[in-house]
Amino acid sequence: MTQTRVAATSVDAAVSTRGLVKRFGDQVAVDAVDLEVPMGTVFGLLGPNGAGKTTIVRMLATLLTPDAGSASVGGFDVVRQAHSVRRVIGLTGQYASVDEALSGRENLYMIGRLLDMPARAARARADQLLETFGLADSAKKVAKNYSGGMRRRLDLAASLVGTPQVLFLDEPTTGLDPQRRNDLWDIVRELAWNGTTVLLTTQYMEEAEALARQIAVMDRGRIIASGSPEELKQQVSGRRLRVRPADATDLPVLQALMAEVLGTAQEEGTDQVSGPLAADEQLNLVLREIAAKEIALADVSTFTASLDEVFITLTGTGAGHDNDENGGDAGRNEGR
Amino acid sequence: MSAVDAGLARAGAGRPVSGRVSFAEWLRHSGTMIRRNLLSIKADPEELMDVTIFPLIMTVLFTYVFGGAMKGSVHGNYLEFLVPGILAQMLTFGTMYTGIKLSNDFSKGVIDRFRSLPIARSAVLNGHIVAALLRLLIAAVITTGSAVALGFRVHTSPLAFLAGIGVLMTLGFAISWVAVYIGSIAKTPQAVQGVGQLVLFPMMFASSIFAPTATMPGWLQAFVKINPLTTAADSARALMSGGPAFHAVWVTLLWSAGLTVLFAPLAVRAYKRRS
Repeated sequence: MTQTRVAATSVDAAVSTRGLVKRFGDQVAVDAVDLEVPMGTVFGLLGPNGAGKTTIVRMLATLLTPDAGSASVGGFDVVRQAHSVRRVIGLTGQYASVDEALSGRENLYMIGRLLDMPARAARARADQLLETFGLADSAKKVAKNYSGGMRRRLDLAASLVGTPQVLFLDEPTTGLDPQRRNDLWDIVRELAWNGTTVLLTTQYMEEAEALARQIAVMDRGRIIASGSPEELKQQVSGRRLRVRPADATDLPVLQALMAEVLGTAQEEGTDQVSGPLAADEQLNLVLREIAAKEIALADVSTFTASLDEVFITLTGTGAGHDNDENGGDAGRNEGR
Repeated sequence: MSAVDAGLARAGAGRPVSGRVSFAEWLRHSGTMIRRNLLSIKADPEELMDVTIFPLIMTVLFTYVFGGAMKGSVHGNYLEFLVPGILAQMLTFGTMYTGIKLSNDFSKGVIDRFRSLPIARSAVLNGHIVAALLRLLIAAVITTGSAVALGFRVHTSPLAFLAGIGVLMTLGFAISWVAVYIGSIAKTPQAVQGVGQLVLFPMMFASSIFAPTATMPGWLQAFVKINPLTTAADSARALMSGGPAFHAVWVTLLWSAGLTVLFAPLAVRAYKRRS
């Protein structure tokens, strides 16, 4: 773990941006974004299509030049030291692709050679990655004949040939089935565990929650909230209490009782009631009242709101329901 | 995951981080790109069809369909008139393919991958241009070989024949830059093909590739005479079958230099600007 840090510079942020701005025409795709991604962590950039996530990644990966502000990756400035940034990053995204006309093995070998590995080392690295990603059997197959999941794994393998310190994953699981998605999550966790810094963009809260230690929620080019998944949930709705009576006919009584103690309470589904828990003492109060009314209980639990709910509260929209088809980050017209 | 561990050792080795690409690296990056473009022929043999089967069909068709009718209007037999022309004709669709491939690289995201790597910026274009020339050379060998089987003979010398191929390749190099330019500005590979055909078909037929120009109307001759494909075909013809070559070769080389000087910087700029 520690030796991975040696090659990096002395700063402790793997990725850092200050007032980063990108405009396309008169649309502001990225609007004064500050980010700080600590080394060796997974950072989730969460937002709907058109929020500006991909534009940020493209600037950090030196594919786009910022219009204002600054950004550094691995301690190098993305504009003035672009070549050095390229030495420490890997990019897998909707946009960065492998060569479909080459086999999986040829693709990885080619990248190894481009990264100045000796031919033998490049071949060994290619075979090793093919093995790791379960592509050894299809090593000689042309990439355009790969299935979607195989393609995604090859894309990821291609960005790992040079063992990047910082890995950008732009919506890595979009379009993958749950099994493939979980496999990819495992790989990301493994990479982070080994010291790679991962900046991940996603439209799925579930994904951000499963992988990222820190999350920044983006909407219309701005960061509208950030923190750990837990902090984000607390920030919006805090804890809730959920009670399920043994007999569903007790529901109205239970609902009235909980509303009295907690201020408000809603029936959930056909057999339970939930309400916001402002303090632990309320828990005792509710249970005492329930005992007094002699209501038989089947289940009592506390929970925090899902990140989906957090996201909807923050952005006022559901994620992934944007009508911006091509995922182009400049696609939002309604100004704010 | 051992694959991940192995790389850590490399990162830990304290690899010098520099912002420059050395000449050796530039050479290796360009070489890797050339290899990549040639390997794609293996995956897509149709890629070579434009420059092999197509010229072959033209040679056979034109020889047997027009050969008889042409007798008397061309010096010697028609095959010997036609084959150098076909070799010049290859320069058109053979190089346009380069633009289509580059455009494809852009739309598929391959260019983004390359741009995120610490490689010489020019390597991608070098790879396309050199691969285009190698493809043309392969095609020239196949076409000449088949033409010999049909009865084509070189009447000058092997050296003059090679000089003829050399003149054609020089123009091929120049047209490749035009193709790279179009490939960089066109939005889709289909657009490259469309533009290419629009420009190339008239240029191909309004030339001395298939027929002598003497019977064409004056206004057409004015264009035909300055058409680089005419001078390229005439150069190859003179160098392979005999006759005065100096003027045609000179004009072809001038064209090559002019197109390269104009389009190479345009192409590089368009390539760099496209995001």
